Formats: sequence, structure tokens, C-alpha cells
Amino acid sequence: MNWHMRGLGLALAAALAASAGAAKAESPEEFYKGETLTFVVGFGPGGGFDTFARILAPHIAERIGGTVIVENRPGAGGTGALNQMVRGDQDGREIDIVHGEAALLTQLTDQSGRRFDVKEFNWLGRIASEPGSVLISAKSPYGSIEDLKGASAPIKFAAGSKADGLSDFAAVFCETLSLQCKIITGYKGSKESSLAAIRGETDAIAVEANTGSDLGKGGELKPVAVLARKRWKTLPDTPTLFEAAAVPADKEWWIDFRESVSNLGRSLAMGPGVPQDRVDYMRKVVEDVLTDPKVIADVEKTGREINYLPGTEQKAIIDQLMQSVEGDRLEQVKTVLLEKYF
Amino acid sequence: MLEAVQQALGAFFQPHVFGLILIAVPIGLVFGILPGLGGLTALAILLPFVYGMDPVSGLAFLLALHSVVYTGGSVTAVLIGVPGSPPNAATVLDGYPLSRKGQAGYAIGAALTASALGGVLGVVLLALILPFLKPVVMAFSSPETLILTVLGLCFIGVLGENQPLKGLAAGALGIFLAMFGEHRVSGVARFWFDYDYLLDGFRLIPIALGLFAIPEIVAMLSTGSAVSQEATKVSYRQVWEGCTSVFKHFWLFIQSSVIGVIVGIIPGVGGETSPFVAYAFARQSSKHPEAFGKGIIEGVIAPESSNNAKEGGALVPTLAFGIPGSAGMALLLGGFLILGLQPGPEFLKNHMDIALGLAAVVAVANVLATLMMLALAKQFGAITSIKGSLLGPILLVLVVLGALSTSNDVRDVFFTFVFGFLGYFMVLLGYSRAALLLGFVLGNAAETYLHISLNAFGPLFWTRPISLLLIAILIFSLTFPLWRNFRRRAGDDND
Repeated sequence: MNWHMRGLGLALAAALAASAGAAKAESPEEFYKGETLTFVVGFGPGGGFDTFARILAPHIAERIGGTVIVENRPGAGGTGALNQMVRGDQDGREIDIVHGEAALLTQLTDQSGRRFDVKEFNWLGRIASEPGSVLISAKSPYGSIEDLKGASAPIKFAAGSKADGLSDFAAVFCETLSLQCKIITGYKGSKESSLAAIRGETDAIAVEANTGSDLGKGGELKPVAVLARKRWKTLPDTPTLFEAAAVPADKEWWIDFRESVSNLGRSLAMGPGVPQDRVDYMRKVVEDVLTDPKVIADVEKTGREINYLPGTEQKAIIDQLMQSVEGDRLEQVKTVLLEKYF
Repeated sequence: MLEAVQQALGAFFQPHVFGLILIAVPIGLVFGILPGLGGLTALAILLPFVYGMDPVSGLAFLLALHSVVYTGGSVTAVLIGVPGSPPNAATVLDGYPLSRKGQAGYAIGAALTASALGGVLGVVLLALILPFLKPVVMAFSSPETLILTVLGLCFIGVLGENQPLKGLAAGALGIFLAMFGEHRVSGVARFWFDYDYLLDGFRLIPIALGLFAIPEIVAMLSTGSAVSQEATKVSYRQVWEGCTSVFKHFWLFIQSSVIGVIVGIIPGVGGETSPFVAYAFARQSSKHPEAFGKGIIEGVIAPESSNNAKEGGALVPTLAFGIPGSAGMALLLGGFLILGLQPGPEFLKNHMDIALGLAAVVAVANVLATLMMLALAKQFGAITSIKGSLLGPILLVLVVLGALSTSNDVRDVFFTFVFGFLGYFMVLLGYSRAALLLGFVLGNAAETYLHISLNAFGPLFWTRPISLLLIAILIFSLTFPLWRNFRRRAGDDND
């Protein structure tokens, strides 16, 4: 190495040290002020995730005193955007709206293409969540959970894909009551699945409770149970599964497991390597936004609602959940969600 | 009902709503004309603008924009042999040969008129079935979707111009390409080679653009000559002849539009299929099928009328169940949700006026779009006499932009060129690119609905009444030309 190269190296090292020092001295408030934040949506425009992102973006921008740009990166059911979040710059300039429930199921069932670990995400807070509900088609020969238990042929459920948020509700329901079920996958999302049940192509469907409440209004589908410990506000007259049927003690775990997966709902997160002070700051911003009455009202105008949970508590839910599904339990979960009822 | 119509017209045809439609139509046309930029891109880019609009204005804007994209796309397909948006690919088959023969005006006139009338007829049919939407959509279950998909697949051979075997081979390749990425039934990714892009499989825009645009650009750059081989200039007289040709083939127009509406109503098949089916039907029922693919006006009228008619049909499941009948409708549905409206059975009960108003918007936008395009037809026609060495580079820029803008992904541009390479050799060796595209569009639906039908109805799923009717149509359309040839030959023998 000749002298001027060495000089260059020294200068570079000095510059690096100086910038590192500057970064340390800079508070998160200073960092985000005037900064442009990318708000990534792993789904296409117009959907629920996109709507939430676009409603929240200006409020986040206002609080950090910068700009927030919403960017749609659809692909692989949200997995594509999460892969990029984990691999991208970890400077805190990107926040993602995450389908927490789907991300967790993707991880638990070892779906191909996953390059992230939900345990490592910096969760900023949950925007909304809802439990599952089971609806029976008016065209099916069954009218109640009792009828389902006495069914002579397998009970047909409609769903999109394996572990997609519909089929796993159905699988957990069938497993809890030891029903004979056949989950037919291939329908496009909850809309086409519910149409299949309405037409009588399948006997029943399991969907998120708010969707179930909308579907129940038409009379073609009848909500029979909510997959949770407590009743859900949009389905006040629908019993929980514990009220509707005698759940054997050794099967209760399944409903509790699925309910805590549901608890992750639609959330905000940052990459695993973002500096802690910036994460803490953004958690505060997110809390301010999601508890602001004005924001809550804006969201309600679109027929949705906010059901905030702090990011730190989300992390606790995930750690607990991951601990409870180790070893044999994990194998059971995979069997029930991916094989047993298909 | 009449009251609802009145209310609808009152709400939708206020000056500011009409003004928005006037803005939306040219935007939609431009997105249609530019290859690669299609209705999906237009909606994706403009969707965020409706946040905060009142529902009537927002919906009128989005729908007007979306329903005229294929009108614009037909002109690109005819003039330079590149579909302005993927469903215009069937129009290339005969529209482009007409341009090469110097009859661009004639083809444009026919394409635009067929588009406008098809759009209007689609809406009229929609309005007629609005009161019975539910039973109509309910009548089509998964087995019917499957059989309609199979019907589409059967026409792959017909698209192979006069080499059915090569058409079938291309179609099979299309089906194979559709198998990449997540298998909807099991959620397992196939052939993804640990490459994230392939988790969702190949995308339609890079395939359509690559197959059709790149070979044309290569041809333009390597020969340097203009599209039209003739020195004839496009005249309004020629365009007018094109317009009236639709009325000369009125039955064909009705047949193609009805096909469009039916394919649009059934959500699983995908509206992109309808122009191909209409084209194949036109060829099968024609007295001179051998003339198809060489520049025959019927080959332009059929796909274009069904292309715009299908959007009327696609509104049916979108409004009645919130299930999009075409890819564009999926985004449009997002628009509804943004504006706080939830399409579905309840929506039709409470908002019949909005539903009717939307139908009226589609009709008005279609007519407006065609009038605007007809006024410019002569200028557009001049494109065919621009030297290829000038037109090629411009097109190449547009293609790259179009591929990139679909989902902001550079890899789409890369795959556009990969499929361009494939398309070049397909043209060279005489394999039908339209057949490949149709196979690609239908491959997944065929697989998925076979799985669903077997599981939900058992092996005798095809014995339901509507299924049997569709099978009868399928057999008839495949055997009719054989039977006619046989009769013709028998007649020759008698002479």
C-alpha cells in the first residue's frame, strides 16, 4: 500500500467515525424531522391494508414533521414486501403495514418463500384485529352445531388456500369439535368462498367476524359460533364456541391458539435492525395516531375500526405463542392446518 | 324502477360529474393506447386520487376511465400490431394485417365502432338483468366456470391460424407458464427456483408486451420500413367504411357482445378471455375461416365488441357480490371500499340508483371515447407510414415504461425482454402468440376449478343443466365447421 492510499484510508476512517458520532448525537426527533418515510403496503391498492395506510400516512407525517409516501408492493400474499423489509436498509425510514396473522401462519406452516422471522420484527402496534366466526349455509342440510356433530357425510367448507386465514379457522373449528370435515380450497379469498357457501356448493364457511356479520345479514348464511373466549361486538347474538358447544378440555388449546394468532391482526412494523431509539420514538408516534379521536372517526367512516394494541404487547403475544407451539405441538399444528381436513 | 332510473341519471349527470367523465375518458384512452400501460395501471395510479371525493363523482371517474381503456388499446393493436392492453391481443390477428395492406382506417373505424356499440350493448344487458342479478350469478357454479374455461382452451387450436397443431403447442406452453408460482389450491409455490419474483408466477403484462411488442420493434428496427406496405393514406372515407362494416356484420357483433357479457359475469374465468373466445367463435361460424388471420374485418369486429361488452358483464358479480368479474374490476372494487360503499346484495337493495348510474356512465364513456378517437383517426393512421427506424425506438421506450409502471418492478422489464425473445422465435417459426396468451390466462382457472368441482360435486359435476348446455355449445362449435366442410364436399361430388 503506498502512502496516498493509506492517507485516503485514514481520511475515510475519520469521516466514518465523525458520521457515526453525529448519528449517535442525533435524537430520533431530529432524524425524522423533514425526512421522507416510506409506508410500504404488501398488497395492491384499494384493499383494507391500503385504505388503512392511506388514512394513517398524513397523520404520521404530521407528527414526525416529515413526509410519508405510501408504496404498494404486492406479491406472494404480503410475503414479498416483508422479505424486502428484512433485507432493506435498517435506518428506520421504512414502516410496513403487516398482515400479522398471515405472516405468523406463513412462519408456523413453513410456507415457501419466507425470508423473515416474525419474532425479530420491531412491532410498532396493532391497528385492528378480529376473531374468526363460523357460518352455515341455508342450502346445507345442517342448521346448527348439533347438526354438524351428527353429520353422516364430511362437512364441506370453502376456503382460498391452505393456512390462508379461512381454511385454518375451519380446520381449528373441526379439530376442536372432532368433526368430520372437508375443506375445499381454490376459491379466491373470502368473497368467492362465501359465494360458494351461499350457492350451496359447500355447507359452511369460516371467516373473520366482521365479514361474518356482513354475510349473516343476507339470511343465506347463518353465523353459529365465534372462535374466541368472548363474544364479538359486530356479532352480539352469536355465541362463542364455548357457549355453543361442549368443548373438551384437551381441545380448548386450539381455539386459544387461533385467537392469539388473530390478535396480531393488521399491524405496523419496522425491520429487525432499526436502532432502538428510533423504534421507541415511532411506537410513541403510532400510539398517538391510533388513539387520536379524529383518526378513529376517519377510519370509522370507511366502515372499519381501530383496535389498538401497543407494539411491546404484540411482541409478548408472539413470544408466548411461539413457546406454546414447540416440538410435538408444532407438528400437530402443521398436520391440522395443512393435511388433516383437505 | 323508473324512479330509480330517474334518480340515477339525476345524481350522475350533474355538471361536475360529467366534467370528471370528460377528464377520465382521454386519460383512459391514453393509457389504453400506450402499450404496457393498461387499465390496471391507470386504476392503480389514479385510485388514491378518489380518497375524499364523494362516492358518485369518484365512481364515475374510475369507471369512465376503466371502461374506455380497451377502446384506446384497439387502435395500437391495429396500427402497429402491439396490443395496447392484453385483451386487445386478439385484435392484432386481423387488424394488423389490414394495416399492412394499407387499410388501417378501415380497421380502426370498425374497431372503434365495435368497441362503442359493444360497450353500450353490454350495459343494456346489464341493466336488463340488474333486477335478477342474484339468480343469474347463483346459476353459475364452479363446474360451469370450469366448462367455460375448457371451452376457451378448446379454441386455442382455432387461434393457431391455419396451423392448429402449432397453435396447440403454443397454448400448451402458455398453460405450462401459468403453472409457475403459488398453486392456489395448496398454497405451495411451484417452479420458483428460490427467486421471490416467481412466487406469484409470471405476470400477464410482461408476457403480453414481450410476445407482441418486442418482435414488432425488432422488425421495425431491422427493416427500417413503415408498417403499411402501401402508399395509400388513411382517409375519413376509409374510416367511415369501417364504421358501417359493423352494421353489415350485425349478427356477428351481437354474438360477440353476448359472449363478452357471459364471460364477464362468471368471475373465475377472467374477462381477458372473452375477446379470444369471440374471435374463435367468429372464425368457427364464418363461411370463409381460411381468410382469418390474413386481414378480415370480422376478425376485428368480434374481439373488439366483446372486449368492451365484457365490462358490462363484469359489473354484475362486482355489484351483486363484491366479487370482481375482471382484473380491472378488482381495483374498481377497491375504489368502492375507499368511498365507503360495500358492494353486495345489500348494496343493490339500498343503492339501485348508484348501480344504474354506473351503467349509464359506462355507456356514455364508451360513446365519448369512440367519438374522440374517430375524430383523430386520420392522425393516428399516419403512424403506419412513419419509418420503422424512427417508430421503433419510441415504442421501445414506451414498452420499458409500461412494463416498469405496472408494479414498479424492474424485473418485469427483464421478463418483458425474455418473453420478447420467445415471441421473436414464435413469429419466425409460425407459432401463434395469441394461443400462448390464452393458455396462460386460462391455465390456472382450469386447474383450480377442476379441483373445486371434483371436491364439491364429485365426478359427475358436469351433469348439471347449465353445464350440459355449455357442453352442447362446445361440441357444436367444434364440429360445425367439420360438418359444413363435409356437406360442401358432398355437394361438390354431386355436381
